[in-house]
Amino acid sequence: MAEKIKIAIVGGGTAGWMTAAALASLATERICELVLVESEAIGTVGVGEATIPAIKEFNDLLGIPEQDFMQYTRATFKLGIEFCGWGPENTSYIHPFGTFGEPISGSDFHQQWMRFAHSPQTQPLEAYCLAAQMCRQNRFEFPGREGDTHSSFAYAYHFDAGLYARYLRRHAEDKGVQRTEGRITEVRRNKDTGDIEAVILESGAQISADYFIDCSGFRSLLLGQSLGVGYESWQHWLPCDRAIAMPSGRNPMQPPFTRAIAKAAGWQWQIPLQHRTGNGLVFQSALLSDDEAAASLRRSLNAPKTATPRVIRFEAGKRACSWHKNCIAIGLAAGFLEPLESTSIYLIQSAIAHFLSLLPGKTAPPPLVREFNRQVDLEYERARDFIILHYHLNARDDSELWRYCRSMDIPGSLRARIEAFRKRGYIEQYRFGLFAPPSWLSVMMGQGLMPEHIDTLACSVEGVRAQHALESQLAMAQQTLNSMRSSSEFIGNYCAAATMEEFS
Amino acid sequence: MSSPDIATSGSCVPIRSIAIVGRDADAWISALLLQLSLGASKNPIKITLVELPSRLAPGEVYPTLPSQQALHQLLGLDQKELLNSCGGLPSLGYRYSGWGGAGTEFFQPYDTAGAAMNGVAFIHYWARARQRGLAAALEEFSLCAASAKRGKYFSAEIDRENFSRGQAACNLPAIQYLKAIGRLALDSGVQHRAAELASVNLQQHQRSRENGCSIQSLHLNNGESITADLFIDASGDGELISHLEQRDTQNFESWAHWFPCDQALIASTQAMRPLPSFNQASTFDAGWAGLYPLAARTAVCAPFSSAHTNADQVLHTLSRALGTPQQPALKPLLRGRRTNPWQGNCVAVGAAATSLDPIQGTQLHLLHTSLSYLLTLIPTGTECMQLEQEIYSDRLAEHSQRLRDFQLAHYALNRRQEAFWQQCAQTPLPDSLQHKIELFRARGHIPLQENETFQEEGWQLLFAGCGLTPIAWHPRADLMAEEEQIVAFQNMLKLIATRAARMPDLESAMSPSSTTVQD
Repeated sequence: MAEKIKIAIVGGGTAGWMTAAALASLATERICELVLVESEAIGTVGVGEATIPAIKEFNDLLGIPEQDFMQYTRATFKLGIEFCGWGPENTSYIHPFGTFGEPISGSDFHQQWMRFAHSPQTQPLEAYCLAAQMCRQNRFEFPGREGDTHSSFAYAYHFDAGLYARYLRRHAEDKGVQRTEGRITEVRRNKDTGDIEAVILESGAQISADYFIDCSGFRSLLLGQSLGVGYESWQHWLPCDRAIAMPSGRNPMQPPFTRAIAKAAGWQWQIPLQHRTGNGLVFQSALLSDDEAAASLRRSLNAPKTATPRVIRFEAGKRACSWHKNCIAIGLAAGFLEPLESTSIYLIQSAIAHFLSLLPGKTAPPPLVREFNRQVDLEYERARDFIILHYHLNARDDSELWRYCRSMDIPGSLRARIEAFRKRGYIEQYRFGLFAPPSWLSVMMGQGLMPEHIDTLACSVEGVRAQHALESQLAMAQQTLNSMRSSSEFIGNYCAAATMEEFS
Repeated sequence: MSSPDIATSGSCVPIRSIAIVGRDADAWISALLLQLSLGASKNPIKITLVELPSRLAPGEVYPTLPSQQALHQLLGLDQKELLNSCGGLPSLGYRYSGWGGAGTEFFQPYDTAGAAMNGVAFIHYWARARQRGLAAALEEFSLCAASAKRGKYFSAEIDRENFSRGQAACNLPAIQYLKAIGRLALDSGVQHRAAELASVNLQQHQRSRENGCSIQSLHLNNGESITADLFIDASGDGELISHLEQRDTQNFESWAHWFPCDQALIASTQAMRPLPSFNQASTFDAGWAGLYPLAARTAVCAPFSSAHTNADQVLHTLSRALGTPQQPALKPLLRGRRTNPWQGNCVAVGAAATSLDPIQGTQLHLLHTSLSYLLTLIPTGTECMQLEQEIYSDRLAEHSQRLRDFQLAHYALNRRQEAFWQQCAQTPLPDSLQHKIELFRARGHIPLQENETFQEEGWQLLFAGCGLTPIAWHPRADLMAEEEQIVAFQNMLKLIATRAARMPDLESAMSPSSTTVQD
């Protein structure tokens, strides 16, 4: 057995405890000695209360029992996001965690739908998508086996990110992670190599390690501040720079989706949990003051406010690289994308996964570091493009923000995807990173971007056959939907959290 | 969500006719696939093939990758029937002789090697064991390689729990194979003209973002004139598309410095008995000789560098090793890709788009890839192809470069002393390949990119076969005690030996009553 690798995790928010729990479970204490330093005095951002289906893989890998986790974190199920007011006026669409329909004779389902869109039997595209209909009707059941309609979707969760971090902390500490309380006052670096040798706490205690994982959040204490790795700003594509969060009472319907409502200066989220609803407004500070934002958010909430608003300042972008010297940044210390598509926790998870797959010995060879950075950059850029897509394709005219986003110069990678869809409904599937074609389809069509042409190959599929396939997909989705319970009933039976009294 | 308003009229007139200009496999497979996909609907697109004179040598073979089976399925062909009717054979991979120096040998199967343990890929355990003295090469943990070496074929029926994910490619005797494809193409309604191009009639077009030419019509040497909305160049060297290329721009990215073999000697020798279920590639001083078993003979393709040797010497070398080769013929090798394989209304497919080195038999796979993209990108109108052109060019470049890297590794990692081989070993590599080699050496990890033809196992077996052993491995492999790992390895080798012994030989697997090749 080789000498143990010592890893110090700096910061104990969602990123810190996810990293600690994953390394403790999957790298184990026989390989790694894990220390996590956090300070109670420093708050956590906990931006991600909504997740995407990949989170289930993470929990499963760690052996986390779903019911237990959902009870503890007061979680609900999530099958997608409803976007209100982003596209044509008074419209909303669902970005579902599911497909719209199977390919028909080798051509994409949506091509055949486009082909017969004018036929009186053809319903709006969303009607064919089981996951979207489950959102519309507040239903939930687990996905079925491969092959049946049940398998056309996946699910994620809404949960209390603070409770999730606490849950993972218990898991990590059980597996041998040492937690140290304290504020870091100094980062000591090796004069020759530039590597971080130790972090020094206010108490004078020193923590040395082979690797330092920077989960310090926006401050990017190690990677940004100490190692001086620069920040690549994406604000020219994502101008919102502030968020204000404010919880409200629980929604008894327990809808299985997040809501993202476009507003003049940004957009508002609604995340249903078992015990409360998470709300927030992401906005551009040039258009709205914090007080105005708070007032606007309060006005819009149906339930009375149960906590004071919290303001978060940010700048979209990422560090030039996530791994430099012996320091790896994960989470907000590595980059920030607004929570529009619930990518924050996914980006933490994917960085952990790439790190685990490349887990080095006592020293990391350069090609390994290069590969990690290549993977992480790709993940951020693909998630970024998808978020920009929503802003760019907006149909609003109530502020400069929306007009700017519509006409701004977007990344070439995104422009090419939009043009390919605009012209002929072409959506390329890539192998690495987010998101899959049904996600792109739902947003582009949902925001009113209709292809100018139908794919030539799709037109050579026999029409009768294609129409029949459309009809049977619709019938299957309806039938399956009708057999499902309501999401509130499902959650009540499956994973109801203990009452508030028991909790506190 | 409301119904979309699809503009069906607009400025674009739909594509109603496609003319393919080309020869041999590229031309016939394109014609058949386009006819089946677009020419058979209620409102069919007319597919015409202008067949240029063949450049096939009498003994030529098309080696393939396992993906050929998927192409055959798309063409409605039963692969085993096809092989039996044209005298082709399946192949489990390659035996490479002499690449690591005289007397060395390695096997590259289309297979996985070993099994993951405790969620850690086998390569990491193998790397650790090798560093501690294990003699067994990575390929010994491949069931396909073991079966092939024992003179057996591979049947998934015998490997019930799927220890291996083995697949077979096939060797197709070119002339007989194309007779079969050609018959199908004609039967399915392809319009066929055997002719040569007399001239190409271009028209200048000026569009918002584009400034160039399109093909209006072709004049054939039989006096006929062919018009079409879209032209496909399947000529192998770009005979048609080159008319649209501007002379002052760099149209061809040459890979000749990486692949110094500029000619190939094509011939046949007698069939090997019993039939081997694999191909062979054996080095000589300034090239290598590929042996591709067929039912009635063995096809030979020997690429060499004319700067280092000549055809007579190569023929002499082959004669000494194999007996006198029959019907020898020379073919030039292009090696490189068109930087823009779609110009105006003309699309280059297969070798006209990217001309690959003969190593590993990847050329038909590239044809398949180019046709797949072409089919999903058939322009929606005769006047608007810019978008399709960009996607096609970009994706094909990525696929071609990843294939190139895989092929290049064979040459770059050789350990022979002759000037030709030293030159191959010393030429600086593309960054993408350099990164793969370095990361494999450092850690056994394969950094896959988008649009890779070969997956982790293919790269691992290649690199290990070329003599690379990772110096480090995933720390999680160390969680398994060495003694435990030795037992696990022994068990795998035992399982492989037992299963390989039960595999059918190739001849019985190819008999019409056997179900093996259908797997």
